[in-house]
Amino acid sequence: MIESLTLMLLLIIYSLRRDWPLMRQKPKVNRWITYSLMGISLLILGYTTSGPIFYPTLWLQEVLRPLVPFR
Amino acid sequence: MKTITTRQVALLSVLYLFSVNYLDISSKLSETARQHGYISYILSVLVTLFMIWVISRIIKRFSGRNVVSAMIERYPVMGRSIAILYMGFLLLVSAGEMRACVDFTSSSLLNKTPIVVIGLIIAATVVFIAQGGIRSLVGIAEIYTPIWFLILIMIVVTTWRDAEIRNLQPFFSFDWTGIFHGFWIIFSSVGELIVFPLILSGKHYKSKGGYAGLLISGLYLIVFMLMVQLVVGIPLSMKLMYPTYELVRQIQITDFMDRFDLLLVALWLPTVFGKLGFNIYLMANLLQIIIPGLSGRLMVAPLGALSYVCGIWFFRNPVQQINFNEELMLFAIVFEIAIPLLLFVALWPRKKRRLKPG
Repeated sequence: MIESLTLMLLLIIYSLRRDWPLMRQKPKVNRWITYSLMGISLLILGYTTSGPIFYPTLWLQEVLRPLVPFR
Repeated sequence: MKTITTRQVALLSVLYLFSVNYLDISSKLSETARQHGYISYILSVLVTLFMIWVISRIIKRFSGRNVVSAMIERYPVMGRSIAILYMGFLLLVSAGEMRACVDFTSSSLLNKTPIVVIGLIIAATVVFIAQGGIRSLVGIAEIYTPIWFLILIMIVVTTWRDAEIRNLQPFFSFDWTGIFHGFWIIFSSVGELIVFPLILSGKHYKSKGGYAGLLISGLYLIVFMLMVQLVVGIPLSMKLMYPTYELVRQIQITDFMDRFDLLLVALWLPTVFGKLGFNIYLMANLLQIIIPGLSGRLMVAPLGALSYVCGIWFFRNPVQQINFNEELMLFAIVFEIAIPLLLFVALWPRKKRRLKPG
């Protein structure tokens, strides 16, 4: 878990460093959305590498199965 | 931004449709439609052709602007809501395709490398490609799509000696339930092409290129599937995870070129990266339209990261991901058929009021 989170964090830091000059010129909404999406991605990665996972498409398959005509 | 030509639109469309779709869907088609899977493909292509025509008619009404921004301008709240729903759909599709690419690379090529590392490398590559914008995507399409046309001919020529025509028998005993089941499974993949003209502006999309690209990639997919069924056989291709890769492994040119399939995979993987990059580019473009002041280029990296982690989170394993195509068609009915038809009606040209004289 720690290795995958660390790798992802390093890539995120590298990406932010690369885009920082452009981010400074653009409106602040770019920074906030970038930080939010990166933070959400790290949280999801942490969640998937620890303990039992809730898979959204498995749940969707159960919910939508009655609507599928071919079974 | 410079416009792209009709030929480039056609090549981009082929890249968009062909690169990932041919990998794993043949097994489900062999299972449902059996030897008549090509009819399922033909039906999907025809329906997609009609939907692209519908969207092309909408684009013509708003020359130079794309459908999404026209929708938001006329109906600000409903337009943004539909655009956000399309973001969710594109994220689901992008996550699934990234996961498919990572699983294939892990299981067939790099067995000992941790799957998380493979995924991060692929995601980083895809982000760099998408950050290059439409020009880098066009560049990949212009180089690799014609190469794959030649490879298709080479695969047919070199594997024809192993083809068994009786694998497609009986030729004229059509199981229409199975054929429509096959159409149900693959339409969501083929119909994805309609997001291309929806999100890119009129000057970046030429409808003739879209039609040509759809027809060419449909032909590619049909020929590949037929060759899989002729050479590998239907009972075996039903059981395999990647039957088209198994077909490519049957190619033997000379004794010393033992792993010729690796060369072909090396030529195929850039098309996959191009497709994944295109997905992220479309999502970034869409986000830029929804939220004013946002830079599409800056959104590529966060959306790439989100696609990668969602690919790991959404699907339990590759088999479950392929089986999810059955339910994905319900999303396709909404996003690839219903909403474009709704937009065709809702964005009808408004009558200009004539001012009375005096």
